[in-house]
Amino acid sequence: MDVIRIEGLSKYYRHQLTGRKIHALEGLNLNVGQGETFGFLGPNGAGKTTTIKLLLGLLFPSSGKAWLFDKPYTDIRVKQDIGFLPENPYFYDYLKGEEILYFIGKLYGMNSVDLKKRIDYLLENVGLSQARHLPLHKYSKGMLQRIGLAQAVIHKPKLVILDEPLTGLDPIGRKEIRDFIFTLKDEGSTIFFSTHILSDAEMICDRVAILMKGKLAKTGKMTELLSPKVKTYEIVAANLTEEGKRALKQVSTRFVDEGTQVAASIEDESKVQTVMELIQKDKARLISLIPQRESLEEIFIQEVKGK
Amino acid sequence: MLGRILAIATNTFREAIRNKILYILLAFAMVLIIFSIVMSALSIGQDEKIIKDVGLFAITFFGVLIAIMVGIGLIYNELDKRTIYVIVSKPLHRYEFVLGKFFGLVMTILVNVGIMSAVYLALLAVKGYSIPFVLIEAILMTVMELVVVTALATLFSSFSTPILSAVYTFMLYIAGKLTDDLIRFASQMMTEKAYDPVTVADKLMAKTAISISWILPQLEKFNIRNQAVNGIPITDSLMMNTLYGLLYTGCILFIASVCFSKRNFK
Repeated sequence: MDVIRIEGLSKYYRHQLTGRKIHALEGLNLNVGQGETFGFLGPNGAGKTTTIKLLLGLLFPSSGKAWLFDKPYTDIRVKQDIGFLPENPYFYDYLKGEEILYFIGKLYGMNSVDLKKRIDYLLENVGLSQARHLPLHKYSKGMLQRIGLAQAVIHKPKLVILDEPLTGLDPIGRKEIRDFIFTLKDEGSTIFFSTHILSDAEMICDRVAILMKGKLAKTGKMTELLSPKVKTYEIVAANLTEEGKRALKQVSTRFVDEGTQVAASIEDESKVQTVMELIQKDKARLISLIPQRESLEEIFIQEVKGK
Repeated sequence: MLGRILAIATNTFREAIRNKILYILLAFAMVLIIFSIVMSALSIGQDEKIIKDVGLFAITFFGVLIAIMVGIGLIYNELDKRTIYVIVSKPLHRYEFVLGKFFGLVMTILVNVGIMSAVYLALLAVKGYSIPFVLIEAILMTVMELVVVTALATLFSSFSTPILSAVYTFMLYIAGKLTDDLIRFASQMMTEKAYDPVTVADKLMAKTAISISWILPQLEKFNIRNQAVNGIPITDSLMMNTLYGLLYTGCILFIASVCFSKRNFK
């Protein structure tokens, strides 16, 4: 069963003056399986938030269909199994931390006894126990993000949708949110989150989709996207003879001689074997041989540039 | 469904009672009710009538102000502050949200009218004036009038900005106060007179006036304040007028729900 299935989803707006169509999302096809942690990547304005808003019924699509848990996304019953953290979450700032969680829990039809226990657990878990009686207008950005996560999972949803959950946070805040996402992952939740912080996506996601100008540019498992492309092999060796150094320099794209040690970059995989034989022949010492894979960031930038 | 509407209503009530403007209006209402003692001292032999009249006026006037001032931002503020994203993504129908917001404001108005009425009735009791049941009926009918005004404010708030909503609601309130005159005008047009026979144009105009009076809220149906203060018998059926108020409110909330259901939240 797909937790999210999107077929040809499009959303366009009309320019207020010219009436020209502005495509926010164009013919998106996407599937997210159960238990997956799915990263939805793209630069600002790519259509990530539009997609999330369409799935949650905040926007109406211009065309296309979507299913959540194999039911049409318009069926409000499916929302019972979804938790959502919007980008820069805005809550009723006159409410206290525990009041907002109680209110949201009631919207999910939770009974008061279970709800109070769950609130205690979550406030403890997101480190806001001390701030439970503080009104939200006194919360910092990081605290708001954490209370946002707590409200998103108050009812133990099967699918958690997080819109830019790591944006604007300091490194500690990001780590806390990441850890929270890992906990959700361990509990078996499906996580669909949008971000443009690629290092986090690389760390957290099983699979990603890259969205560009409203269109799906690339999708795949992290291992598929990252592993096939070894860009260079970084070799560090010691005690090479002058002749050996010269031979290594000839096959390298980058060569640094630091006396006893040399560092070289080799692009051609077939030349790696030659270098290894050279080191052996010279009775030199191989210190490291690291394949440099293409990072998600580089794939992302390539897609942005339209390569 | 009821649980979700109640959750939204309770939250709206909580938001409203933390709104400073509410307390300012309530304070003004109290001052006016108590000030009626001073006004009554200036009249000759009309003390009781003036205190009763000014008190009822204060309850209505400030009740309407609260309904409009709080009601106009009711839904708009949710969009403006983006709190709507958190709410609409939850398992609730959009009409449940509209109803929740409406009932939350009605709860606020009930509490405020309750406080104003308690002060008003206590003042009458202290002064040793009679408190006939019709006076209570007049307050209850005022509540019905405020419910209709709240529904109108909710409707405009579902698709318009607070300033425009205030203008629309206030204009409809004034028009609603004049619908009785419109109906009277229509019946005069239809009255055959020797020197002025009823023409086709007269009929058309009368029918148009009647149609408009059905669209506009007939707020004078809820105004029995004059009868209550002056002891004039009430000829209208209060039950039927209340039923009209509930039906009208239902229709307005239905339109508000339809408007809100079609909105995209960018």
